[in-house]
Amino acid sequence: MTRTTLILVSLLLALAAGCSKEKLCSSDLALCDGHCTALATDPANCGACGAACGAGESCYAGQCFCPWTTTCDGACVDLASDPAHCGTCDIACAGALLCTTSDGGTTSCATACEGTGQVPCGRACVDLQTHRQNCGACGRTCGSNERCTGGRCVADLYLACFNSDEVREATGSLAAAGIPLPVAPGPIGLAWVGDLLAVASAESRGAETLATVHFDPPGLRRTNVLETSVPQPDIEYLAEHEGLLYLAHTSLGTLLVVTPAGKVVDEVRLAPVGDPDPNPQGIAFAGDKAYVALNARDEVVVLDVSQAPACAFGAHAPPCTTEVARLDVHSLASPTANAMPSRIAITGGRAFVALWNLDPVSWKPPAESTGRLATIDVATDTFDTAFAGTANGAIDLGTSCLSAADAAPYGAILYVTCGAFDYPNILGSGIVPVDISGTVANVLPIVAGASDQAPGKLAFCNGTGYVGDRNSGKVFLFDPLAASTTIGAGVELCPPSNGWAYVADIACGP
Amino acid sequence: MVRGRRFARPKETRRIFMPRLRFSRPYLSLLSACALARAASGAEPPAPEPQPDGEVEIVIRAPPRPQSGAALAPGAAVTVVDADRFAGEAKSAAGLLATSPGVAVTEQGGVGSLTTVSIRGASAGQVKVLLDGVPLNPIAGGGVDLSSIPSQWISRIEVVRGTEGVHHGSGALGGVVNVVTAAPRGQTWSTAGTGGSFGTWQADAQASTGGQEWGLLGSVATTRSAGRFTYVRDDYDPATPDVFERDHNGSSVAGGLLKAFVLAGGGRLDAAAQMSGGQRDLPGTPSNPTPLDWQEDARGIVSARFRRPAYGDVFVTASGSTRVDRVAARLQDLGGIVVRQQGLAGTGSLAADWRGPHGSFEAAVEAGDEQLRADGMGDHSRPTYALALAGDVSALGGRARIGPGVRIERAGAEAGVSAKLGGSLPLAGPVSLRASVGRTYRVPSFAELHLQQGVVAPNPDLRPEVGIGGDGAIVAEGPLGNAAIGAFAALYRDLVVYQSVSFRRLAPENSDKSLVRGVEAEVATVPLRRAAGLNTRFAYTFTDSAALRGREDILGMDLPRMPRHRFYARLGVGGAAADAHAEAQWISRQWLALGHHAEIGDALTLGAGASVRLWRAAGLRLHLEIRNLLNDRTLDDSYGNPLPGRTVLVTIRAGSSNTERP
Repeated sequence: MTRTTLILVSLLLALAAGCSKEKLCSSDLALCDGHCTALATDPANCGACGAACGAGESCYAGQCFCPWTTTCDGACVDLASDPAHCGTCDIACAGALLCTTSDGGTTSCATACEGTGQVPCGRACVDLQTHRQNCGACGRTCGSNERCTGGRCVADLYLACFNSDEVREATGSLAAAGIPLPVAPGPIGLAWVGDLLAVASAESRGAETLATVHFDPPGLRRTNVLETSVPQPDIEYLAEHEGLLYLAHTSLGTLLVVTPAGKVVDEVRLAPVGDPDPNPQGIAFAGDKAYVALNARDEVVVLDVSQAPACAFGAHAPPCTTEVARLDVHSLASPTANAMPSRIAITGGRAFVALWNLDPVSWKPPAESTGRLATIDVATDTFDTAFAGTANGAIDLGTSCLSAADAAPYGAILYVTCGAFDYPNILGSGIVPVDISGTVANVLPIVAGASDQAPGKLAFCNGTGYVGDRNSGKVFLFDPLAASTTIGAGVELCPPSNGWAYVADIACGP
Repeated sequence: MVRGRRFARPKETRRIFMPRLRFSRPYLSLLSACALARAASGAEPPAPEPQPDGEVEIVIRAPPRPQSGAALAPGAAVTVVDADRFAGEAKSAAGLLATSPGVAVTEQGGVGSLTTVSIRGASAGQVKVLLDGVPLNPIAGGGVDLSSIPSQWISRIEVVRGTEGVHHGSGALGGVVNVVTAAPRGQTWSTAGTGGSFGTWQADAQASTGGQEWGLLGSVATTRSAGRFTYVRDDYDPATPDVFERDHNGSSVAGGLLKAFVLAGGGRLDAAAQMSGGQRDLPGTPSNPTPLDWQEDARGIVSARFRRPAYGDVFVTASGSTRVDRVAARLQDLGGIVVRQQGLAGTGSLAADWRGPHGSFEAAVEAGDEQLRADGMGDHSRPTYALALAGDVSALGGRARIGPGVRIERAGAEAGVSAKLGGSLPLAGPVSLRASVGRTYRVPSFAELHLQQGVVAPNPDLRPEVGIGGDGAIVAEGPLGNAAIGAFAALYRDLVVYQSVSFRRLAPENSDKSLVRGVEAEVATVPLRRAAGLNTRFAYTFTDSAALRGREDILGMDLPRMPRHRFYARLGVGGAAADAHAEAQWISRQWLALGHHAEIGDALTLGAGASVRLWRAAGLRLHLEIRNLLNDRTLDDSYGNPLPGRTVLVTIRAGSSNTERP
């Protein structure tokens, strides 16, 4: 008995030694007090766990700094509104007097706030619409590198960091901002709907989740408005149209139409029952028509969604969409390849569909293949062969651009990101400008990418292009007016997991 | 917020298109069917003595004592499922294994569908499955498809739970399942035919001859099933019916078995040759069907063992085996091409054992080679070597035992050690205490190291997975049956999971750690041995699992496909002229993924059967077996695949009378 007891005790001790839980954080986050946080931007843990910044200070790159650039006796103060340091360090407003700055820029102690839109927060007169430390409500401080706009703490860019399960903020100059917002596993799509940022997530570790991010006080937060319980979750794209959200519900091969509150208005089957998953990818709109790329069927399906808003309000019963056309893009692929349509951009009366154009077995571009865009006339929903300059309606992007990933217009130029799936040595990487101002598409010289760059999502925000890398957590800054011949080095804003990160989507800040 | 809402039929696996973890069913099938293995060090026990012809006394037996090396080790947690007890009931391997605690069987559909087994939370690929001691685990990766073993051959199944690497080498993190086929049994013969629901047909024939000094058994078996059935799912669309058809789900398996023993050269020579093969439709998932996918596989095994006394109580055993596997599959995920794999494995071993009144000792050396040729993987081979030492010391007339074991092994570049210490101690009367603790590991498969296929990439830097565990139980054995209740815990670390490593590329990584603990209980009784032939069997498993490594949203949560409760009960009555039985199985809710999002609801299934003797002289007997008696068409397997409704199978069996029921 004693010996057996010893065996059992030894077993329990051995198991206890190895049974501790290991919480994992994103590679650039640290575990502080049991929570993952960004030491680079968290004022409460700036540079190290527990290293809190002083009052009024922000945290950037792990260092506390004063956003007002003014310190009085070592304290970071806003001379424009601080009643203890009103206008200068040496002036303190007496008694109940407020510190206010007039529209003319004069700061003084007064009995009432003098500036337009100012309200007193304590004895500081501030504009809740713009004041970083009282943004939207007294005492609500914006995060590092965030700005206060319309009473909301916002940033210039929002990134869907697929591997770290976060939405991250950045400035227009690609500096990290705020504190990463954890979302459901595998965020892949972002779309603004009113004042809310919708986030679609679907990764095998989690459910299919649609969340909305709120920016108004008391602070940045998310609400999961829709969770679907399918065994193998998969959402590939999120788009907004007429106040409704459209999700490429790839796990079940359907298109979900959802209100911002998470009510499913309609679920549109994109392939007949019994057919393999069509793998819906990109969604784009032209008027009341939705264009959906069906990657596994080499098709683009066109749906009339004009009744969807009526369905959302209960004025129309499902089905809320009707199929208008279905275009077979297989013939636009290289020989031995499948077209694999992915993202869609619509501009100037045409839909431009990025084609992966891959060998279906190796998932690599076939030898001698080229990058390709399908061109569809949205008035007739037929291939615009004349504009493409080819018999099948494909714009040939050349051999230096393989596997078109995304497309976005800026002025009269359509920019197409390319980068083959042949990792780690990526071929055909770059951004190809296509002049679409004339009657025939004119492919311009590529802005070449390096062999470790796989440009994916492309968004233009305030005249600047931002490109998400599919091969890292980097975002590349792209100036459409500059005559660059190569893509810059970029800044890593999404942390890797297993040595890899993916900037799945980019949304411009409000 | 709408939680847990489903919009359409879920699916258990998916196309590998996305930059995230995905396994397609075809991959799993392909990998599981392509099995190479080392040869066995163990073999079947000596054939039982033939019974005299004539009237047979029907004796309802409690489960027999275990026979294999692992099962005989001191303190081993073993359940022996005697298939002869279920003779004529058209039980599949899944049906037999479901009677054991600690075991989770996934049968993805009806008769002939892909069937895998996991033990104590280990995945199917972490359970060693043996056929007469010869490992079937595919070198390419994945679990063993039990449906590739003709169910008619199964004589018994030994389930050894726990980290069991000492006797059977790396790969047995969760345990070992040893499928033992019938042995030569004098001058006997039998044949049977089965027909039933969903286009199911089975036939087998078996004959045995020989005597005290030699024996020969030959057997052929075939099973075909159309596999087409309807199931019910709420598709959340009121405009369409909720009844769907599971199509392109057929299968056919056939095989031949030849076994022999001869007493010669001062010892005993056992030899066996087994060939089996089949074809299976790969239906895909309900929401992502693959109506053109299929798989063909074939397997051949030749094994031999010679054992003789060497000096005093010392015996030497030489054994060897060779196994060949072939599989071809048409996979939509790979553009509809046909991919092929072929494997070859051979092992030889030499062992010496001594058994004395107060203990035993065994030492064995093994050497072998594994080869694999596969599309997307190229040609690979690796030699294997092992040295195993095990023994035990006994007291109290053999009722108290304690025994350590260790195995040092090398497979290719990977070397590792498995160890185990177990013991048993009598407490009072028929009640005893047993306990064991062990450690073992699993060498990364060729697929994990080398497979480049579609979006799946290899990782040559993988480390072996490690399992550390132990258990203890109170066991009671007596003339009315046996019972056991115990607890177990297992820690698995460096688990290999496929993760995204670049855009739309998956590769295996050593990233997970998990803890599985629980309680296992089983009772098998024959309370009215000679009256109504009443016999009962119960098995219950409580499992508490937790992910020990990961992000906050999954840390500490239940592992997928790990229901907290499993319960099995069986009641049988009757004798030689007629008998009947009823079964019930209840499995509590389980999750399809970490994070508790996709759920498989709890399921209660009932079964029943009966048989009646038609003609004693010809051993003619008619059997009726009904599965899913309540015709619940909403059931899913643990991957979300639909399961068939009520299944009725009628079998007519004939044979020499002593093969009816031993």
